[in-house]
Amino acid sequence: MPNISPALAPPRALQTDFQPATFLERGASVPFTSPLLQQARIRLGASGMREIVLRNPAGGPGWYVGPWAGVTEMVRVTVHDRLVYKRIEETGAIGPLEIRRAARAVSAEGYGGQAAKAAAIAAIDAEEREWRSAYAALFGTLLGQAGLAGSDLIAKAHSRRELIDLAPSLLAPIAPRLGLAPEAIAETLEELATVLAGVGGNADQPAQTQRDLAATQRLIAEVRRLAGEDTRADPDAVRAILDVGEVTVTLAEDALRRARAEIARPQALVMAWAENRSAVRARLTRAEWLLDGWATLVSLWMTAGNGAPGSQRHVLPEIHLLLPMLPREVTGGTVQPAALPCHARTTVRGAEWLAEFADADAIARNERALARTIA
Amino acid sequence: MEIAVSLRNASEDQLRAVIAVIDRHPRRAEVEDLVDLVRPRIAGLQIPRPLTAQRALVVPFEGLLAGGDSVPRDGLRLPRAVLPPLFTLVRERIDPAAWAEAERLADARRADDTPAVMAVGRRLWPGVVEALEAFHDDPRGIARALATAGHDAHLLGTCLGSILPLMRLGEAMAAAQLPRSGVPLDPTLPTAPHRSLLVGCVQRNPGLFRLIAAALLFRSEFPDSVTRIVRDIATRLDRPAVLGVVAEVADALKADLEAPLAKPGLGAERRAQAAMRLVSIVSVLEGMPRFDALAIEASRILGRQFTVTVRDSVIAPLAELVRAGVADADALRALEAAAHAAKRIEAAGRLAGATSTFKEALAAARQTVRALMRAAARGPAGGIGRAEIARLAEILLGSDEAMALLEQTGCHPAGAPVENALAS
Repeated sequence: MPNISPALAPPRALQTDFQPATFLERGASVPFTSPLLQQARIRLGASGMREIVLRNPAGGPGWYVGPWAGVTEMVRVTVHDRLVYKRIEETGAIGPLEIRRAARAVSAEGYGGQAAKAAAIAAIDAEEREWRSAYAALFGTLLGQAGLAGSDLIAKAHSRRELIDLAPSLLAPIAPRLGLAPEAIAETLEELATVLAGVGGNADQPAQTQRDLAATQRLIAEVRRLAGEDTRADPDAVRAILDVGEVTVTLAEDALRRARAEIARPQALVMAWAENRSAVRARLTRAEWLLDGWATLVSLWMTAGNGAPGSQRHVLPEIHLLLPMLPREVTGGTVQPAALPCHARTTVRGAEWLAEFADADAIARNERALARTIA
Repeated sequence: MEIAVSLRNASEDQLRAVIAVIDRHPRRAEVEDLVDLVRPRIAGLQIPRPLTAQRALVVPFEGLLAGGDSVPRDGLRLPRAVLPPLFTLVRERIDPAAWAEAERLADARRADDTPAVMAVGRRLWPGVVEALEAFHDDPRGIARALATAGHDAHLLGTCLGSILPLMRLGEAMAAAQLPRSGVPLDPTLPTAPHRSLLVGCVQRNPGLFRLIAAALLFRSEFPDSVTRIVRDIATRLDRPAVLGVVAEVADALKADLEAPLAKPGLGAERRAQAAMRLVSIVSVLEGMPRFDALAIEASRILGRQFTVTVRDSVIAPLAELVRAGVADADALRALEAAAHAAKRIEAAGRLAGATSTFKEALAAARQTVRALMRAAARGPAGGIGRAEIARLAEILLGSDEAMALLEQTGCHPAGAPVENALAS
């Protein structure tokens, strides 16, 4: 177990009426592959220490909230999960994007399987392109709105370093107007580009969050179609998926629109960032927080879609169980979370020895989900 | 060679499209070797097989068909070579309208779509029975016609006694063997037809009972449940002889385990399936001397097979990949599939009572894996890495040991720069 004072450790608790007030309290999902840690979330607790939130591991109702430290010692976990845990420990990742980066770094080494490795390497590459695109868009708009030249130089820059090197000299004329040193503006652009890379400025070239949104919209549309065609689809699961999904998608679309609108006013954005970066970050990453956790559900749905006819109907209760709960800041506290189905694993008497292979199958499926989550 | 490389490098969607085309091709067997190259990926992608009239036709006796191109040495199973003459005979004698209707119903449907398979089968099975009865009534005349077409009519004649009775029960046999909504059917469920199928013929037709029980024992996802039903019939009707078919199936599975491997990767997977089926069956009959003896023998065989599988299908190819410094994704998937197969053999062996053999084999594997991990750490970029070896160690030895091996070999992967991975 990690060296942690019992006095400092947050208490372990089973909360049967867990309804987070904010996204931060809900936490960011960690793409673990071990069955018991599926859709576990990490968050900062009231004491400032990191906590884990996961479904009641015993299979009953409620959520387990406990210390993040030592979570990989709590249950039997994969090597991949231990390394993701380690990476999160080292980087201090706490938001969805940071967690995704930590998981990508581990998967890019090959610890999540070949599909996840390919997806991680491609995603790291894409993220770098999206970062440059976001940086160039912010930088170019900032110069253009100030009536300054330099867009051609930005277009010719082929690397992150070249873009960064251009900034101080080109931004120097507007620095006094913003009340910031050119170097400070350049640094702000770098940080903003990191936050905005996932948002993307161009709807024709969808970035990370836009892609997640589109996948979630497809999932909801397909669940609605299935429910219309097949009366055997679990009505509770369908209702919960559509209710939570539609609110999530509507809010995420709105959040993305607002974030893009802010990109169009880079001067205001730079000044607001200098003033209160955590508030700006919360606004710009709201869509990312809203959609966090849905990639796994999309993967489960798509995997079932490749299975025998009827498989997607059978996966609905599991998706219901894994639905990211909406915090009260979104629902206004008026929506009571629907009762979740029991998820206890069933083992046939005399076939207990096969449980190990059920776990191996679940890990293989979670690795497929991982490839989508980190993509 | 170029086709093989393209197939290996194909994206998931491309691979799905290619396999769909190959699967529908009437001369699919000619490219079987190419398909073998990507079989681990196909298994991982769960690419659906298209439904064809031929595929629905064989469902009633599919449980008795031997796997792959092997020639079964037991008296229960049928070689797949019997299918071409059977298909030719059926096509010649069945009502063309029924065949056309079956093909229309199968069009664009999947082989795992049970209602579609049943619909196609209902159009075909009565006509197949008529064709086989005609062959039974006039074996020489029809055999000549089949031989003229280049088919082994004698083989079909030999298998007729197994195929025809099951084909007469076409719909009931299909209902017992096909999944429902993608979920395998547990024979002990009240709605499952297995018990009534077996009880219905045990007294009036023991030969048919033997065929039905064998088909279900070889095919069902729940061979232990089928064995329980047979055991109950033996006890309640005081007919211990019915357990003879269970012993026959167990012996056949034991022989499968001992058969030499034609293809290491695929062979390991088939052995693992045979091992799990065998111990599932004999564990239900624990306490019966005949089956206890079988279990003891099986545990010895499984111990040996585990050692051989780990050595020949995991460690040796892994060492070769580390030496070569190059490893493509399919080779790694094949290694992982073989390691999972080894674990299934181990679990089956432990259930059957063996333990010490596995400990020794795992200890040997541990040493080699540690050495290979060290070698991989010094190896060139692009070769097999510590991550891949750690995953194999995790499958074989568990995550605690895999993590310990990583730490012992001086690796700190979570902190490794991403650029290293990108470079590879």
